[in-house]
Amino acid sequence: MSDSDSQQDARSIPSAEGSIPVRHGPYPEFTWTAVLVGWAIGALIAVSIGYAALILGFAIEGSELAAILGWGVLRGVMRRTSIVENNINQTIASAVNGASSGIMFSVPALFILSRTEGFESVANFNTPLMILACITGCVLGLAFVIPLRKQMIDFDRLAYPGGIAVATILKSPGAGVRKAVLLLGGALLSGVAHLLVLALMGEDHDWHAGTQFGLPAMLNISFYLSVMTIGVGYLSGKGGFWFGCGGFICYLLLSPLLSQFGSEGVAAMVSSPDQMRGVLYKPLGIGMLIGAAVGGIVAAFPLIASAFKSMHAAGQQKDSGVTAYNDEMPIRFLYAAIGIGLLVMVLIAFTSVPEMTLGRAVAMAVLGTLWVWVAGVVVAECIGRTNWSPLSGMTLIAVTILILVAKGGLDAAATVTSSMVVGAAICLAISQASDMMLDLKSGYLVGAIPRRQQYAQFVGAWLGPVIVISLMFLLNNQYQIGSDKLPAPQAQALASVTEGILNDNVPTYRYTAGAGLGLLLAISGLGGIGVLIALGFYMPFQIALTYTIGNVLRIVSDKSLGTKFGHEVGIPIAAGLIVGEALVGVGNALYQVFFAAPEVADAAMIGCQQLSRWM
Amino acid sequence: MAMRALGQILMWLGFLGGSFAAVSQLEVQDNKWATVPWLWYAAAMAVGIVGIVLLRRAKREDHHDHDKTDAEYSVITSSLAELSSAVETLCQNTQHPPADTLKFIDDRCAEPLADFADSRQALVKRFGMTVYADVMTEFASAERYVNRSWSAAADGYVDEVDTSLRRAHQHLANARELISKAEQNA
Repeated sequence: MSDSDSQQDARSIPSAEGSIPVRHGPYPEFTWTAVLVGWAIGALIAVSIGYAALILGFAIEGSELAAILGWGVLRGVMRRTSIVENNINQTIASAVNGASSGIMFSVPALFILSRTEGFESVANFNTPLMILACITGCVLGLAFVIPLRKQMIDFDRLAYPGGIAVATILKSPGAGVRKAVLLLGGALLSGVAHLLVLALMGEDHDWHAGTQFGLPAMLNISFYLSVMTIGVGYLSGKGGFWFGCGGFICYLLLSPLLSQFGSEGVAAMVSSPDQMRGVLYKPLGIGMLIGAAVGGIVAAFPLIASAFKSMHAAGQQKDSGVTAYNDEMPIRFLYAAIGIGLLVMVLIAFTSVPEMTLGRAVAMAVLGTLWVWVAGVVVAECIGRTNWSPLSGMTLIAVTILILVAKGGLDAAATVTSSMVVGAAICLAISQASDMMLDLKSGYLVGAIPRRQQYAQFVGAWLGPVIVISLMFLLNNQYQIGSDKLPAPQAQALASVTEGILNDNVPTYRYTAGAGLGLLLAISGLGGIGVLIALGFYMPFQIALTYTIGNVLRIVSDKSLGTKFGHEVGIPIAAGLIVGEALVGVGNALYQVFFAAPEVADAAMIGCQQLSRWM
Repeated sequence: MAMRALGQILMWLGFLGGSFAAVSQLEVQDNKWATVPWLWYAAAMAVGIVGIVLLRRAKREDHHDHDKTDAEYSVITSSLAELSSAVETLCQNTQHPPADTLKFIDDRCAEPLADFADSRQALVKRFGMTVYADVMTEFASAERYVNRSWSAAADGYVDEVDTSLRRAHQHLANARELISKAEQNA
């Protein structure tokens, strides 16, 4: 072949097998169909997952479910043919569902606390104000995190394993039969594995390998039996390896050292890893997360400044009439959202209890808003690097700050009510921030326009608080939240922590020490290891160990089989592993609610009937 | 090399020492802040900071390791050129069926996109964070539009395929221009 032939060959497109029907005209993306289907699917998921969270004590990530349901409804039933339209539908649905984890963790604590002497009035909070607080929190969380899209996704290229899984589902119509088979195979494998774990292991999903092999209990060698976690580790790749290292440092280094050289009390505790985590490592990890995130912001300042500069430049191009396409949400809109959000937060804090003074309300709103920014960065980075979000830890700090501000001049009940109303807003803000970044990653991979996704998130975010708070009231009226029928374990934990904060029982010294350590790692110049190691301190070691298996598999497969194998085979399988377990998790939650406990099913049915009448 | 190793050792010793100090005692009830032996903690942190100073110095010297940086940088330029050529080919052949476009993007664009992303730190080493951010803004936009053209091709929307590829092409041209400007200024 001559040079000119080979040049010609390089500049031509070879024919491929199969055919795709040709369509002309605009590519459907942000359509009314996507909005309406997104609202409907989001409401369905929010009610299901929110209700399950009140009973089981944990919320389940709904993005994959939203993508699959959207795929079925839009493509299967409505014969729509746009990947990016389904992406908008998924963005809206998961934005609606974002309220289920945020609200069910925080607001029910007020009902539980109201059964304690002296706190009877805390359940009589102003409901429309609570809904407004949650919606305001959503707006603030989104306004703060949207400008970080460039830094986290474009510059740092964080993995967002959940976003990759959603994108793999969204792209499956065009990815070819092979990838679809790999995705389904992975989903089937993890679904069956999770079913087996649920059936055979009961409540304890850990394999205590260390105990079986006669290793000391302090080493805490247990594996969380979750194929999904291996998939998440695989998608995070070698970048996620430091997460496991955080756990190794705690249980393989510090615990043995503490057993020899720690104080008497600590040395006696080392053989109980759960206690070690709860009392020592987790508070230190929370502090580290904050220090690492703040240090990370300082270290990445040139990148953040550049991201803001480009958003400003995009706005100016539009102003000057240049025919440039603008993919970013106008920065002025975000500034306005933050300004108005802050003012509304002041109003919410001021009217939350009659005794509130304006000065205290301003302090609560300003500190709360600042915390939304810090915590939003922490959670968005954690979920980007590992797929786990320290939402509860960040909410805990928020409630601590708010109670410390409020309790100087208010009685205990008023302190709790005002702090929880503003705290719920912060919890929702953090939840929306992480969901937005995850969706923006999946959008990046399918080629969505960020601005449209960001508007879609706002379109969906307001609906969640309305639905979930209404559901919560209906269920509380029928069956008390905190009772055996609706135990709300997460809210019970927050309620007991709140009482602890009121009694000055907060390990501030350990948070402070952790913040210094996090800062140290953040300024080391070794990427995001501070946040990852901090998360390793914060999370159960069982999860970190299983996650590390995924990291190792990715490193080995990239080295021995090449990165192309990872992209072509590994990623679709890993995405399938996430999808399968997530779906079985949702299915199991609904099964537990409707079939395993008949009296709870009755409560649900009555609740749903009342909700449908009310709506 | 020795400086880097010493920096790593001191940084991790400092971190571990600080962590140990922070969790070495249960809460002291009458004086909670005395739970952490702050003097030991501060000493450990100081060791860690010395380690970080050494690490940063070693990193600065590493930036001056021209052979290594040049090798990484050549991946940047070659993958960008390869990608631009592939996208240009697609732009010039807009009449092709979407299935062909889809396969071409998979075969010719995926690898240079990944190579560029993997070597992107060479831009920081060579030109600093500001140029890195500017180039990555253009590159990421280009990648997103290539992804969008893939999605549009999978769905058969040929007009969108064409529009997205042209935008990707423009962003790639911007990225190359930024790099060549930075080279001139270096």
